[in-house]
Amino acid sequence: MSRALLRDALWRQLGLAVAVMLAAMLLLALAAHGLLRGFEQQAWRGRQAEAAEAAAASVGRYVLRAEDAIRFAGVLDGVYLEAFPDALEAILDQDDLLLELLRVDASGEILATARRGAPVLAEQFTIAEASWFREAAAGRRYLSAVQQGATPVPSLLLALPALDGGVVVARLRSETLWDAVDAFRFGEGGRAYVVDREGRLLAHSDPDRVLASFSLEGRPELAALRSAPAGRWSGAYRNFEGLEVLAATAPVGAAPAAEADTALGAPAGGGEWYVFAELPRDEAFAWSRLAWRWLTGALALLGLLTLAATAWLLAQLIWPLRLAPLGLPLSPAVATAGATEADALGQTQALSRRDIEALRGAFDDMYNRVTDIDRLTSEFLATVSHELRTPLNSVIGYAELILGGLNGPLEAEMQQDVEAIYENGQLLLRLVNDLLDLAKIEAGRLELELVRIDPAGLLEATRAANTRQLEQKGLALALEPAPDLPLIWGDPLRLQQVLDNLVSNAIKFTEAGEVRLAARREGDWLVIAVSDTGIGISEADRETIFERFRQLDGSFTRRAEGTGLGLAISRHLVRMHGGRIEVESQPGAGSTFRVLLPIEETPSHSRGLAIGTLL
Amino acid sequence: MPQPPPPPRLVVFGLSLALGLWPAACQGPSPTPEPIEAGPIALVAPPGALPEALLDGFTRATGISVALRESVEVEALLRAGEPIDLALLPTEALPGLIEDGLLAPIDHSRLPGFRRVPYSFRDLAYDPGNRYSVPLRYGISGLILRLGAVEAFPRSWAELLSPGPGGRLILPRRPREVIGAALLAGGHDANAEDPAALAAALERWRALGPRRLQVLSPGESGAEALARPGAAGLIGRAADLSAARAAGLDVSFVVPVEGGLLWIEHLVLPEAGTRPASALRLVEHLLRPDVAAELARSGSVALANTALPDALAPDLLADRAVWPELRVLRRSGMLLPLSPAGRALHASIWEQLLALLGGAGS
Repeated sequence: MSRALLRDALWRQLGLAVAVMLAAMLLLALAAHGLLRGFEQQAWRGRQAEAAEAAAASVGRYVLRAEDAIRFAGVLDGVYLEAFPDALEAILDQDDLLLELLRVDASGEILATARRGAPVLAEQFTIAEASWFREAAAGRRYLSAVQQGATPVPSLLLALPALDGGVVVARLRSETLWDAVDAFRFGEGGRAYVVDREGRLLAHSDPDRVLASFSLEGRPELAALRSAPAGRWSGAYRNFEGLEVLAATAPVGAAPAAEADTALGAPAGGGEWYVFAELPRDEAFAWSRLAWRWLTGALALLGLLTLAATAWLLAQLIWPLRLAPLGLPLSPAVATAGATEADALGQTQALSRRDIEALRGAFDDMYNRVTDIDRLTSEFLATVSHELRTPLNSVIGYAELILGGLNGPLEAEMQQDVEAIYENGQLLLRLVNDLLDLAKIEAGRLELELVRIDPAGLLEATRAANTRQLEQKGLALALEPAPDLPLIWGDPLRLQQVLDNLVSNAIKFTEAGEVRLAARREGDWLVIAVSDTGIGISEADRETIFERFRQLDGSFTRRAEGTGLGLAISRHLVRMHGGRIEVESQPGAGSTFRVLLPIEETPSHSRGLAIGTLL
Repeated sequence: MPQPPPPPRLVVFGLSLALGLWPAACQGPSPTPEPIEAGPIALVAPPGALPEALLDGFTRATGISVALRESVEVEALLRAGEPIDLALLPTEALPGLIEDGLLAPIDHSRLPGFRRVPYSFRDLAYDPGNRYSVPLRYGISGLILRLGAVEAFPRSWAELLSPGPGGRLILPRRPREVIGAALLAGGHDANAEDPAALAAALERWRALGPRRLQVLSPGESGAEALARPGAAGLIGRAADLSAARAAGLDVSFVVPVEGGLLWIEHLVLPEAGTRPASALRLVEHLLRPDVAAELARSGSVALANTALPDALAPDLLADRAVWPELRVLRRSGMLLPLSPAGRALHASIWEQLLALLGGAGS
């Protein structure tokens, strides 16, 4: 093995280890962020629902307060009001919420009025056509949108049926409602507002919005509210002020309206008012956002430090491999001949026998040191890979639980995030598993558990394991086991791994046609052939595809998904079974990988291979 | 010195991803500008309702031109799918057009002037919440009588429609007001759809006879008809009274004891319109106190605008034909939308009346 190859191998292994560590840490950060975000969202959703209900109860009290006065006025009939013309004034005086009270008979004729300030309802000459009269005369409670008129005080109309078939209508001070809603805050930026069924804004912390007759009509949150059962809904959206918020809604006064039935016959329904409790998304996800920033920042810093440390470590380990800095007992001719290996080799003709012996000793010593380094690297990889699998399995498991609805339904964006965590976690787990295998192989610690295997069952299991991938590509897998296949000695999991890898590659590189999996006996060998009609492999590539990290374009890139370790591991596993893998291919016409396994009465192969055989 | 190979791309990718995601969370929304509509506003209104000079003022103030088309058949034009941006319609036409989806909802957040619309015109049953209409003009139809042409003023519709000697009564080409007057005379609601009540109303006109009745010819004004010999009275509005006085006639306005006929006209945005934002700006302009005052002055008509008492001269406000007292308004029968069957019945009665009087069709 040349020094250049050794150096490349070290670079690859350490570089890959660093990359895997960084990717794993990034994934962990992403998972932590996603989980924290999910928990935060769930927590806020519950709190907002409670806040919306509390705000709705507060608004409901406002309505009930007015209703109490109106119901009392509804009990007073025309005769009483004629006898006591100041009766409505007395009711009005009880509560400054009331701006005007009007009692009309069933035809809309005014029986009595009372007011603070200028008359408004008392001057209406279309009472019989007014919605408030029609609704209340029909036995329904009427609540208007916020009204602005000649008087400077904005108001709401509330009308209820009277006992004698007439109607009582009141003009209510809007500001009292606004104050109640404005006082309702949760979190730092959370607030509530009230809309009616048509989406008209009735109360908001910004009264100008209400006075501008703002409506939610046409907005998605109103459509969602309308389709929600009982007016209770929660979700996330960009609100009418352009703010990303989480929100919950609650209907106003639904329960109190039921009590109203016993008094004046007002039906349930609560006047069709709804409370929106909104919390800025930034505030809701403040902790997860902060955690994400710190984690990614720390990761970036850690990544840079790791890269620097790796570069320094490699410089310490590899660059001293140059001959001169080793301080070898070379002759002056050699010592001054040049610094590079090529220079040294170029001088061999001029070397004395003693120099050649010294060089051989030096190279042996160097080889032993590099072998130690490679072994240590492999052990390091095995340890790191093992340690990575545990948290990775947790990440994948939690992601799976969240996708399965453990924390309730997910928003679309959240669903995509968690799916990304899950899929990338799986990819990373495959990579880690391959690395672990690689490390075990190179450390000579991979052992086979040999049992008698029925090859036909192995083929069936391979097909079952690749069904999803086949369906996704629209390909068929033809199984062609010969009828008289003998049993063989082998590790079923490892042989399954080899066949899965070969079939998976065949599917991956085949766009149309089919994949065939055949098995037959050829003398003392069981031959399992995986054939495809894919892109094929050139003669030059056939020499390198069994090298680690290689794919068909001969690069280290991930043009097709995969680690580039599968074939190298497969060849090693087959060799451990005493067999070999052959490949036949025509570019553009497909490939056939033949796995030859010995047919023996007793197992004679269970040895690992020495370091370097996978290169 | 040998160079180390570049680090695996996964490292670069991971770091890029980490560094790229870090600052990615601080993006904000950007507001979208409102579209600007080109071309003049296509406006349709009854003749004389919206003076050109007043619309020119809008054009000068906003730069938006207005193409006014005057028609007595505004509803028919809307139903024909004409590209109209803004129309002035009587109450009776509203529900049918709303139900047929021919009117566009009004964005009240862009109509702050609506606060000047009095409660009497807000949120009425035919258009709850004024979702599709903005009340603009209103008034009472009563009796305009030529002093000297009648021996005694009739105090009621019933008295007016009693057979006997007397001057000629001019009827406007407004079926709801003519039929409504006869219904009130019979003690019915002005919006009655009962066939018997309608037949009785027709019979009242028939009993009066063609010698004492005349329907205005198309294009003929009430003042012109009233000025002819033998004409004693006209069922008309304050604008007719004003025109008659301007023509030098000695006339007086009477609201019969059964009540006048209360009419309201509304601005609406047809669904077929292509300039809703410009049209809404014109509506807002018409709700301005100074513009409404000018409209009231020039048209001798009441405007549904609470700012007018301060914007109009007291003598104009004192004209009870234009600005009836509250008790008169309450007593009057508001002309309301009819059911399809009621509309057909009223149309039939009107046709029969025209045939009886030899009128020149509707």
